[in-house]
Amino acid sequence: MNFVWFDYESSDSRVNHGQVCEASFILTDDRFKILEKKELKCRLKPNVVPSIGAMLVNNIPPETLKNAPLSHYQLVLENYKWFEKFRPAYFTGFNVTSFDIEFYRRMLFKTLIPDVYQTNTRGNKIHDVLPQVRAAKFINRNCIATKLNAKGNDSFKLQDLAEVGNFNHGTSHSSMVDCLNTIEVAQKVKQGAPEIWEASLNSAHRTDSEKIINSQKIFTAFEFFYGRLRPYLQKHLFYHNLYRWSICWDLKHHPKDYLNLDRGSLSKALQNAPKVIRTFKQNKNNVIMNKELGLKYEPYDKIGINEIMERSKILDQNPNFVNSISSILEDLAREKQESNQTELLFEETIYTGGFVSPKDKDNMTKFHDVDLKGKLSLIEKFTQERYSYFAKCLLYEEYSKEQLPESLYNEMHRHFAKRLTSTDNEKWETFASFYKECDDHREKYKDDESKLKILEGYNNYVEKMEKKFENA
Amino acid sequence: MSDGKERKKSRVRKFKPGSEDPFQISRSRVQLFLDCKRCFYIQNRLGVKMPKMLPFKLNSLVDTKVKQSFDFAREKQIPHKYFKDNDYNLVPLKHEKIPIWRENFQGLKYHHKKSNLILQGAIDDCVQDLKTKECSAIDYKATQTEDGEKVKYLGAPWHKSWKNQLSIYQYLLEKNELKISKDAYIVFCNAQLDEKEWDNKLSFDVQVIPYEVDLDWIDSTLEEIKALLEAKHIPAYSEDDVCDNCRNLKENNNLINSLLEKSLKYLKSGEAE
Repeated sequence: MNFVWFDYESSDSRVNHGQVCEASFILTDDRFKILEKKELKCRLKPNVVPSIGAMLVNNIPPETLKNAPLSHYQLVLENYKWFEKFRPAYFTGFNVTSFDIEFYRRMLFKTLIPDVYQTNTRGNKIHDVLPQVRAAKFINRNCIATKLNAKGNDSFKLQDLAEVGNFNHGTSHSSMVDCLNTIEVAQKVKQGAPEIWEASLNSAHRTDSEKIINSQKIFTAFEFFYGRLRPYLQKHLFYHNLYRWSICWDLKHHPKDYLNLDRGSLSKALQNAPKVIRTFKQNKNNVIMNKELGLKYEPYDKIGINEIMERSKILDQNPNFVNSISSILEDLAREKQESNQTELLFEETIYTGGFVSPKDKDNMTKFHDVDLKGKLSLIEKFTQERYSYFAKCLLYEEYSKEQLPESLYNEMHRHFAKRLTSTDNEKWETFASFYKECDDHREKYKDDESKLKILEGYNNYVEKMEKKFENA
Repeated sequence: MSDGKERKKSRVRKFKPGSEDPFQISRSRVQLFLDCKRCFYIQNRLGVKMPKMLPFKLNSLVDTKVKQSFDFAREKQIPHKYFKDNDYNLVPLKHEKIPIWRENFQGLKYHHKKSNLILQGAIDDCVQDLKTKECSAIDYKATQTEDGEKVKYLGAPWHKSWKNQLSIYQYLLEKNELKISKDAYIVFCNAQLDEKEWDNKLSFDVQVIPYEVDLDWIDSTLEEIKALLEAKHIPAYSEDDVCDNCRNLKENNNLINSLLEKSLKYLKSGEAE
């Protein structure tokens, strides 16, 4: 299959409320030969205050945010069409499972494109270069050059990998440059650690990962925390009843030490560090390697294959013990869910609000095809309030005050005015949080003329925006 | 039921372990090896014929017509119009063996000494750059798809076998002492659906799709094929979504086994479920 490499530069790192300002896509074949490229830039939505921290990273000038050729809505439609054109493919990039995919799904969700899971359905798979390069470096240190960070760990920031690797595609944090740099990193992974590359392709979809887990039962996985990658030789026990993650036993621990614990003690033991239970997320493109790899590393090398198999056998022979673990983990998850009862905003309901109904799907399709009058008439036809809300947001963002019915314009304008003028600590950028962040950066860059100029540009942009929301 | 005619027993060439005679393997069997080790083994080692596919007569007819039109260009040593339209200055190769190389069950052959396998593949055609003398294999593909535009990216999983096919052809051309180009081509003929009343004609949208071949995997794959042919054990069933034959056989076997178990139980206890 071909690869669609993609990267977004956004106004904010908060996926529910930020917006994409720049998107780049590259289609390559499985040998990284570039077949097509596309770069899209869009204007900032009238109801989004940019995070100055994010803008200083991606260096998009305020002029682009005002004068880019596309609106955000147009960018999303173009993006969706482009991805559709090259289906089926691996949708890949750097750290996409944590950021870009989540951003893209929300773009579709809030733009009333029902195909929110476009990148992992109908043959498409999600592939992420970040976990692969970490694993590749772990098994072959010569695979790719890395910088050491202040704590003496390898830095896997794309910018750093590009710098030490002399990739020469231009300044990092432009979406096209980041795509090209990611392709370079992937090439190095494929050359330096082909087994990791192969494994990463085999685990690019939840069902693919589950197939491997179900057949191998004992496998090696990697986890990255405290700046370092760690291998785990683990045995799959079951899939979590709520989250569907693969719940595994870390075979460095002997199950006999836990078998006779009562439920309360076992529950405590499961939550203590070092954890005996490891959670493997099948949809994050984490590599699944065979047990032989894990046996090369401490402490599994000292435990040895015979003892590992013995521990695995004990777990197989004690289904009640495994059931207890399953029940404890389910209870803990339910407790956590119940303790977090804060009401979600519509923007936050992508995963909790259920799948789109056929009727809403039909209305969404119509929404993009009809004129303003048709769009207005569809607002009340959605069966879920969140979709009516997104429809109103889209109209507010895409049409002028003069084009919209006064009541609709006023409703949405007041809604966003209330959000943006809030002085509380919100989940989105407000005028107040922007100015504070801007002042902090002015102090930080007081000797850097060019940065101060950018800050001034953004400050002027937001001041003008604020005026529009005064007296709303 | 007999239809009065004596049926010829279906026979398939099979590999004899330890034999010193080279064993011929077609490019489609190499693909079968890549797709499903078990089916490959059953066919080539055990000699059991795989279920036949329906003959694609219409597709073959399109191939024949395209071949004929390439022959006109070969005669004049000019680029065929499909290539000319795509700015490829390549002409159909004039070579005495072209008729053999294009013939099914004949084709290009190469004795791979290390594995003692004869790799065989029949090309649809071959074009040559008259300046560099580099040759490129061509395969015609005739079909009907609404995704005709996307085919040029050769990105779908099933395109992998097309890529392998072109790579094997280039490999064979090189082993037959031709200077080869890095690219081979698919001439993709996509029948057009239109709203007009049927006038007994099909029109085609034709694309020339280049593919930069990959020859690196072929030698090692031939060695793996040989190792499997020499193996004493039949490989495990492939995954259900990988091989239809395996899925079908596995399900049939499971069904038969469960029926047998029930019958045995009935015979022992006299109680039917």
